Amino acid sequence: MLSYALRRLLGAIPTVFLVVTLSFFLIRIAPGGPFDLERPLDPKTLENLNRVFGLDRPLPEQYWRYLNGLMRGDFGPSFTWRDFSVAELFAGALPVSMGLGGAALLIAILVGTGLGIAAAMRQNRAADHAAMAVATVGLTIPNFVVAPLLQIAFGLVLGLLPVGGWNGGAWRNGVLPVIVLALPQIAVVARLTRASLIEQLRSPSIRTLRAAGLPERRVLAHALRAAALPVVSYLGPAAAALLTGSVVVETIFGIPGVGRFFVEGALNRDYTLVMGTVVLIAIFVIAVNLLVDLLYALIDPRVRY
Amino acid sequence: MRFAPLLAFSLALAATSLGPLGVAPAAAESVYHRGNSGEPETLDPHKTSTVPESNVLRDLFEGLVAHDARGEPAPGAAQSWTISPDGKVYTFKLRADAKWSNGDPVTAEDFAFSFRRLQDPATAGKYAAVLYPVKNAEKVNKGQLPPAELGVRAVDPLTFEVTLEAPTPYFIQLLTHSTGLPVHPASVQKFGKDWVKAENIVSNGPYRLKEFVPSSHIRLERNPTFHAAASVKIDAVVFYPTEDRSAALRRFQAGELQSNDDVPADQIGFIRKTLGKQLHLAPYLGTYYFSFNTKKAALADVRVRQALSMVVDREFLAEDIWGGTMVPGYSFVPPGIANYAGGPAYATWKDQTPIEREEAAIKLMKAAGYGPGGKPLKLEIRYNTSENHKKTSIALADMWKPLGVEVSLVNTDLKTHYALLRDRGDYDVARAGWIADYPDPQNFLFLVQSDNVGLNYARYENPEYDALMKAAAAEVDLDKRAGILKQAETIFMRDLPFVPLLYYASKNLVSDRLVGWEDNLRDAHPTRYLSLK
Repeated sequence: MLSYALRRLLGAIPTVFLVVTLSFFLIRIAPGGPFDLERPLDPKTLENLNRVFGLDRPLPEQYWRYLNGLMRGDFGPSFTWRDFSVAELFAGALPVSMGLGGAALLIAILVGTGLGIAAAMRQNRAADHAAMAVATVGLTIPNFVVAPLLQIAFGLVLGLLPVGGWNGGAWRNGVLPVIVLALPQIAVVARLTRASLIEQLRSPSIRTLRAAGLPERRVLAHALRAAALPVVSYLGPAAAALLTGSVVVETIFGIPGVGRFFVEGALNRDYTLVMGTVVLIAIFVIAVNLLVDLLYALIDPRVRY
Repeated sequence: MRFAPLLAFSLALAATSLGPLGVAPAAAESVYHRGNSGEPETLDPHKTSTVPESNVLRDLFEGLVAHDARGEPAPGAAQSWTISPDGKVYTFKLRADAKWSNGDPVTAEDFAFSFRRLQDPATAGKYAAVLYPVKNAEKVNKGQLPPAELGVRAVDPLTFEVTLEAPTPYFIQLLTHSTGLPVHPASVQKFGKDWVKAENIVSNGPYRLKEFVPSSHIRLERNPTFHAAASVKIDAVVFYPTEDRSAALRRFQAGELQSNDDVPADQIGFIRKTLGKQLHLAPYLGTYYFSFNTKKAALADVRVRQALSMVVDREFLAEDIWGGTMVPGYSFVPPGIANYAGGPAYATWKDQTPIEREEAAIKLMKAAGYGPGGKPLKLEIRYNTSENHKKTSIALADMWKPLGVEVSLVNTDLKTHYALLRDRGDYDVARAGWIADYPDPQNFLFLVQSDNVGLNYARYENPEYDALMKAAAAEVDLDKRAGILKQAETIFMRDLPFVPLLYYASKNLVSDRLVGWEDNLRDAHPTRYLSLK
């Protein structure tokens, strides 16, 4: 299994390289550049800026320099935050996003599977309908609606929690953002768990176990194990998305995470920031997918590497 | 259940950063939480270009001339100055008690270094052009002369002399711009571009930088070495990049922010009702206009442009579309500006009734061969993405209908919109706006000089206008100069390369707890003059 993991990681290198190369050239196709403003700059001023940032050099040379920097862990300077390098920006923001995303993921797993199991066990009864109704609401109301509503309820009306701000990561400032991040995930996990468990409980293998007189508790344990597979498959990409931040949640709550870099980098034509983000996401997706595959082997005895 | 590994993984991640409880601030400390509607690109005054940056820099550094509580130029690091009779040499006497935050005295040499650094091509400052009136500045910035050739000189440690290319009556106003701020030479030389980081920075303003967390906040704390430190009442000011105006409004309502420098325009009614006088709307130095492409057949006819301007109901635009956050505009230069004795040149028909105006406009159109019964006129209005630009464009289309004008609308994103105007692309009518860099009519009227390639979107060419602008630039007598500029604006209002519609207003949320806030044309509110109750 270890050698499998190693092989997968090595195999990821060409993938990352391809992603870097493609995105390096694609972002340059977008009209305008990092220094195009509402007020046009003097051509000479623009020339000065391009020279300082190395944008006056031929594209292949820029690409080569970028790759060289990347090998040394240098993601280059940011054009949007000129006082910081891209690496510095990520060093500050990634722990914030991973902390919030991780907490949201954890809550999604605990509450989502709990709701899903409860609903599956009481299929088509009131509790089931209630749980699924809640899940549907969590899924269909977008976060840019939920977040302001929570701010108004808990911050303005009840005065229990801060409306926004990060405050150096104080837990009170993290509560609402984590809830907003977790809600849709809880909904998906609950629905997946319910559907998957109901299917398992009806399967011939479970019927056989019951016929053999196994106590219901142990029967359920078997069913849950099998039912976990689709949930784990979903949680992989979901984790990658959660841990790399959400632009909506970060903007509404004023949180210094990496989610904003994705959007602002692209809008500002901040080439280096966009590239850094792309590399980061690629690494997360690869890592999380590997983790999911390894988990499969743990859960499903038929899977062997 | 076999979720354990994933759980452990998430727990570990969660533990890494939902860190310790926030540390409660000391009881006596007075902290001002200030919404600043955008993230500074940099805190290096010589690389600066945006309004959110200048709000922070105003507290961090002190230039020769600074903004007072009313946003007017006031002595800063220079306690006084004299101007030579020909208006070209400014001699600044520096304060003897001005110190950097590390205790070093602020000297004339520091200013000479800073002025040269601003123009040095290696600095790549976006707004170096603001100080182009300094002798040789443009040539230095373009790499044609070495920085040593710039027209600045430290006569002695407390006397700083600036020589200008030509008399520039608004030079003192220019110096309040962030580009005129000094940097600490030793720190810049030692740390290179990292001098601006919180751990390295040395500044000379009322506050010093404590922390800059991108997308979260910038915390400044009182600078004990500042010459007027005793009069600074707020101990720390925290700037938040409140890009989400609605979220900022909620934070303001919850008391988490004591001010915010913008409001969500679509909630203006609600804000008026709930916040009352905590909403501060005040005139601002900006004009909202639409540019006519004067090279297009119909629009080349000045009568058509005049007619199109006359029938616009500016009161309706200001009140019903912009919710009172803009002021009806009948001149290109907004009223209240410095160096403009007698005020702007208003449209001659400003006080006519709408019916009189419409009749006159139809006559003008007829004379030009258009209008009801004449040649059909189809115009395309371009605007950049924004609900209110769209509504304004639709309103224009409606108001132009009685003139027999058929309008179609084209919407693009901001970068595309301005790239088209700058690159002289094809268009009929395009939305634009201008916020002054310094309070002087020249900073508006220069937009349509024929040699202003980047900003003369109308492609307006009028030798008479150009000559007046040139004459104004050479005139030292401020009253005479104001007269010349007014002549130029009168021509502008007759020829209408742009149709001015509205003046911008500053829109601040200011808490009752914040004392000393004075609304002003520059929307400049140095924290040193404020206090919290």
